[in-house]
Amino acid sequence: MTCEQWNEQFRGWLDQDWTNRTDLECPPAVRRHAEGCPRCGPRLQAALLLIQGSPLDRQPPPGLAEQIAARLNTGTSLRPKIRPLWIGIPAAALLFVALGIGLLLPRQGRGANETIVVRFELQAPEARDVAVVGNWNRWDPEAQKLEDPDGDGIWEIEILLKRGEEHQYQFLIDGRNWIPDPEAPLQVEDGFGGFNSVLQI
Amino acid sequence: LTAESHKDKDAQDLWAVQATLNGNSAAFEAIVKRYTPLLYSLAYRLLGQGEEAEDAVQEILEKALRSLPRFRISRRFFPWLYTIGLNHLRSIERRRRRRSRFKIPTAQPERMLESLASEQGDPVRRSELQEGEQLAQEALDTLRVEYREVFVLKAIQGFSVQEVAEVLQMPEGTVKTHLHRARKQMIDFLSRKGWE
Repeated sequence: MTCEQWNEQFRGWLDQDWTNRTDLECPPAVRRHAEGCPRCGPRLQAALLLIQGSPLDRQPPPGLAEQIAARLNTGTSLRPKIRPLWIGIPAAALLFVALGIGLLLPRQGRGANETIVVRFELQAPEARDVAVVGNWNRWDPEAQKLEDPDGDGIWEIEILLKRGEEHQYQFLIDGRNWIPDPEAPLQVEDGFGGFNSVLQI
Repeated sequence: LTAESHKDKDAQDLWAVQATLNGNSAAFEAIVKRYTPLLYSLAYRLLGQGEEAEDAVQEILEKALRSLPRFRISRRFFPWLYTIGLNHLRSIERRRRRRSRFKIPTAQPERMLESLASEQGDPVRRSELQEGEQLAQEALDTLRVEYREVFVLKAIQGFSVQEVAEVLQMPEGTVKTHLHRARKQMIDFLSRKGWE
């Protein structure tokens, strides 16, 4: 049997409805050819795994549950996240119970135009709308809205920012409450009686 | 799982939730231990990466712990936790898609293949199983997220159609349709693979 002929028979076999048929038997000719064929063998194997389903049920590495339980108790992460370099003074008092995080993600390009994906998170369970407003988006309150897709009260967004520059920003909650990032240690006066958070990357 | 064992598990979950809310921090550990394997398998097959799945499980359980005061004790805990898990995994998937233009690797075949195949002694057979598993994961990755979720929950994790419908908050008929389409698309993928 050639691989082309095999493929036709393979397709014909799989075309039957195998919903609820984890024991679907492979025709002997299809199996025989696949056993000695590096091209067709893995495809038959993949089909059998998908038909049976349960062999693809992956077990976690040993000890993962214990590690997670221990880390939830101490509030640490499995792997340390890379964070931007914060410098300066603690955050001001907040209107909301808020937790802001700037998280650096992989970078694009090199040199003067190098950019970095920065992730912002703000815990604001009572908020209906959250935006990050900064000098990179010309302080436009509509430009970059955070999202809370799973409704857990943590709003998030990822933004591409230039490296080597100082970025100033605040969060705007429900279009009226401006707050600096509570996790950003460096703040400067914003000229309106409040503070901007400063991100240096 | 039988209805009886479901009932037992639900009762144990509710006890652990109540105890956690009452300040017993060890009680949540029981939930972590019970659900880490299920959440890991879900995350692994939806994300296709071991390390990312490990992180995701911790993040899901952290979110569940933070959201616990909002859990209504009259509900079943397991579908509630799974909903949090699926929402979190969808959010990771969305971020991935946004970042894909930066060519961040989203698959680590060498980690993906530390699998059932590793138990096989024959190196040729092992290699075939590994390639088969990798191809199966690729087939899963080609599916729309809705189809992939239904397939992973029903075919891989062994939930009933009713349970899948409860977790994904969709009619049972839709679960069956998604399952059928998922299988059909994966067959198309496998029979086309290498023949385009």
